[in-house]
Amino acid sequence: MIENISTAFQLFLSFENILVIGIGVLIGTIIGAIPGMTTPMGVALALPFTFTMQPVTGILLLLGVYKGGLYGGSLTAILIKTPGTPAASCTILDGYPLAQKGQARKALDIALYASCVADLISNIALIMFAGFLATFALRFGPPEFFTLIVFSLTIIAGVAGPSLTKGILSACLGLMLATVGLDLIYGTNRFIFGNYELMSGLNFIPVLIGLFAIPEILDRATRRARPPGAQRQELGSGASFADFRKTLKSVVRGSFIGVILGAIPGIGGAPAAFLSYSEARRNSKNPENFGKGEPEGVAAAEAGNNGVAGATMIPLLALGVPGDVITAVILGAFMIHGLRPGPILFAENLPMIYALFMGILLSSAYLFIVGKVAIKTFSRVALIPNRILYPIVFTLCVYGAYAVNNNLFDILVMLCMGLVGFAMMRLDIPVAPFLIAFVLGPLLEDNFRQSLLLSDGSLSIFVRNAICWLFWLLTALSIFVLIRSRIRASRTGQASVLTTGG
Amino acid sequence: MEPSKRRDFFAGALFLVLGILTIVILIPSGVDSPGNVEISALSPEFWPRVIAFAVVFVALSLVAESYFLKTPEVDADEDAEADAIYKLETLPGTLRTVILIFALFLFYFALTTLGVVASSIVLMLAMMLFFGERKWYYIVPISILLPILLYLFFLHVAGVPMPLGIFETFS
Repeated sequence: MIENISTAFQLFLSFENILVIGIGVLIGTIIGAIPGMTTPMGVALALPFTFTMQPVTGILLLLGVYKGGLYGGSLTAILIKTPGTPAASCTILDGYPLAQKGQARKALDIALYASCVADLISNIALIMFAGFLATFALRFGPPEFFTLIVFSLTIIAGVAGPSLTKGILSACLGLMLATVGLDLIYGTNRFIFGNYELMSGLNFIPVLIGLFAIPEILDRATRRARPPGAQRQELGSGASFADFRKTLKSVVRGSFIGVILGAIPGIGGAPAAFLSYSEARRNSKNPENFGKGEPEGVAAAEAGNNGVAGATMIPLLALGVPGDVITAVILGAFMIHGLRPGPILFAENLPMIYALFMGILLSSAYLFIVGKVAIKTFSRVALIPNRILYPIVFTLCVYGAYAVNNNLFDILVMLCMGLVGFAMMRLDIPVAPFLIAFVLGPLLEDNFRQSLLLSDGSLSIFVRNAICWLFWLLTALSIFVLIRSRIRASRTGQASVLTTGG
Repeated sequence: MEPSKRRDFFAGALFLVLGILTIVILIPSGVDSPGNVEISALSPEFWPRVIAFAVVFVALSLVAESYFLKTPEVDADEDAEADAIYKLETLPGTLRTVILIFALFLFYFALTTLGVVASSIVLMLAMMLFFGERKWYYIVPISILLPILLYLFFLHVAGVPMPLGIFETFS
């Protein structure tokens, strides 16, 4: 233990690591604040820049972008009623009215404090539970992993949009695309059609960039820029400690909601923010103030939103299963460095995990510092118009896609996936299950076939013990709940808060 | 039928056809299976086949869903209002998308001869004009400097030389 921690310190304590976390949080905050750039897009664009870094350094940079991105969305939500990220649309409800009352500074401060506290709580939850879960998962064999991945994909498919059917369709397409390349066991061709570039399968990064950045650019070609809400010149004075203490209960409650929803695959920041907000209103002494500029509303929304950031890393690190698109990208970053998160990583490379934990804790502090600076300056940066922003984003996409393998073919893959993503966007099919299924596809198939090799082809191995049964039951239960909420949504015409997508 | 129902019906029908085509044509022609597979579930074509059948099943469900259930609006008031104001679902809008897609693929083919940097400069310039930017003091410096700076970054920091095509001799 002590030895592991001291090795971890050696891994972590370098000028580079301490610098990149700050840079990551800074980039993330800017990207989060820019309406039209989402956090997954930001993490995807940052990924190619981490190829040559040490694994710990590269992953910490991406985590910084993730955390900054979650927070950054609130800046423009409060100031100009334009959420930088989907999750920040909840912050608008009370943040923008506060700004209109001339108390923008107070709203921004409360958002920042709530974000930092929630982030810290979430990180501590990660550190406490990840190791525990990983030890438990050491007992998992191929059938257990197979059922776990089936369960995760079901949830991800179900909560990515209002329709479970479309989510599953999206996941199936991702699984299908993942089969392109040489067969895992026999080494024969699958869907290669004589193109040797396809032999090793499609690379994750061009697929990711294609799905998450290109459709946005294509879509904006048909839209006029959204005029921002009016911004009042005076920002007012900042929040005092007493202001913050009044909201503390909602912040802590929101953080725990964030942690719990974050640890479940697929749910993400936006539902956590809305749930935390509605709980804060329900428990408030003056619920009628919510929506008219109640600081507690801002605090609850931001706490829910940022509370997920550490917790989403729990299933990723402990089980190797990403719960949302951003953790899928981080999984991709692990794989580029030849590492595979999961119980084995805990068993074999514990110092590295500890080093990541140290960096994650430091990122909470950075969030506070960057946030303080951001409040003063970034609201202007965020106003960069889409007509300049999107050409820049596209150029970054091209360079990033090429740099993965020094291969022009990857740029073509990115463009084609961009078309696929655009078609899915127009058909209202969520892309997140596609990408996560694409990443988990080989793992799912591999565990499936290994199980059958173990059992000599008998399917009974997939119900061999209580763990398998538990995952099957959870899968069945979530399908039941999702179908029921879909039918209910059809009657009321309102989608459930959990299925607003991450 | 409401537009959202028609869209879902179309999506279901489309993927139904694609799923069937995958089972009938794509898998037999695209997947090589060795002859000596003892357990049929371990054959390379088993997994793609399972997924294709799942696509067919889900597509059928989607068709049924579009027929029987209403599509709920995700935060209905906010988005519907925003779309009505900002989305230009008109022919010029579609035409703009088609032009952009065409331009991006043209860009890819230009890459192979002109290299990444030169084609990016041209594309950025064109894209900014296409998206409606008219201030040359933004357009010119950004579209020239960004591709070059990124080239230098990837070359010196990441060690990845971007292909320069016919401009290779200048590097």
